Amino acid sequence: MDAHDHELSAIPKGARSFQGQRAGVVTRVLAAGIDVAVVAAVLVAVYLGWAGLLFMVDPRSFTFPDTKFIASLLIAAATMFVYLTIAWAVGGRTYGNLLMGLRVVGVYGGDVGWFRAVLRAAFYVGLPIGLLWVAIDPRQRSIQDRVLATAVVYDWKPRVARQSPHADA
Amino acid sequence: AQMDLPVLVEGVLDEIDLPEIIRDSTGTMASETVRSVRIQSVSADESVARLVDRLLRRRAREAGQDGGAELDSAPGSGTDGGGH
Repeated sequence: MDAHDHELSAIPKGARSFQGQRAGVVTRVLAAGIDVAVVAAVLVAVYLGWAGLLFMVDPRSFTFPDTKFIASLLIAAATMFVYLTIAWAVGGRTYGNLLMGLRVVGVYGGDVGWFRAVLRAAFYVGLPIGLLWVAIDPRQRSIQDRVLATAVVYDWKPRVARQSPHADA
Repeated sequence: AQMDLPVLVEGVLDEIDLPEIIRDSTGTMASETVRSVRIQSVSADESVARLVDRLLRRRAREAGQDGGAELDSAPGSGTDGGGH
């Protein structure tokens, strides 16, 4: 028994065994769903804010701003791209990842970095179904993970220094 | 009789799981819910992985072994050798 065994961990005992291991499809899809909900909530809030502004400027002729389907889709995709890029590059996790206890890392551990975060975000926005490959891949990788040499691991530590979760596994 | 206090304290800490007690006493309903959802989703991950392995007639994944779920070793540094 070494000194490490006596460190007080914020992670429940039952969850320590799988920290640093690659996350499966269910957890990752749930995290992605939360992220979609976050972006949708932001867009709705922006839309309502814009409508409110228009109402204040000219209440008599107010109508809700027109939303074109394709334009809305493009704005949503761009928002998602920016959100994913910043979240992965800065902290290695989106809000969905944070809630589900996940972290995006390089396949050998370490940070994803801005370059891979940009590519990964673009790849996920363009081909979200690639996430489902996690279920089939023997190493729990999505298509994006395979191409960009990234991995998603369980990491329940609320705030961790930028280090490889592998070292803690 | 002399007591080895550090060893005794370590033993007590191991037994009582102090962080768990702190979590139980200060945790909110929301954080309890998050923990519960996380645990359930991890078990769902394992169940799906087992099912897929069975359907594809693949050897069951074992953590830390080839085909397992941990991160790969850096090229030239480990025994795993999983290339991408």
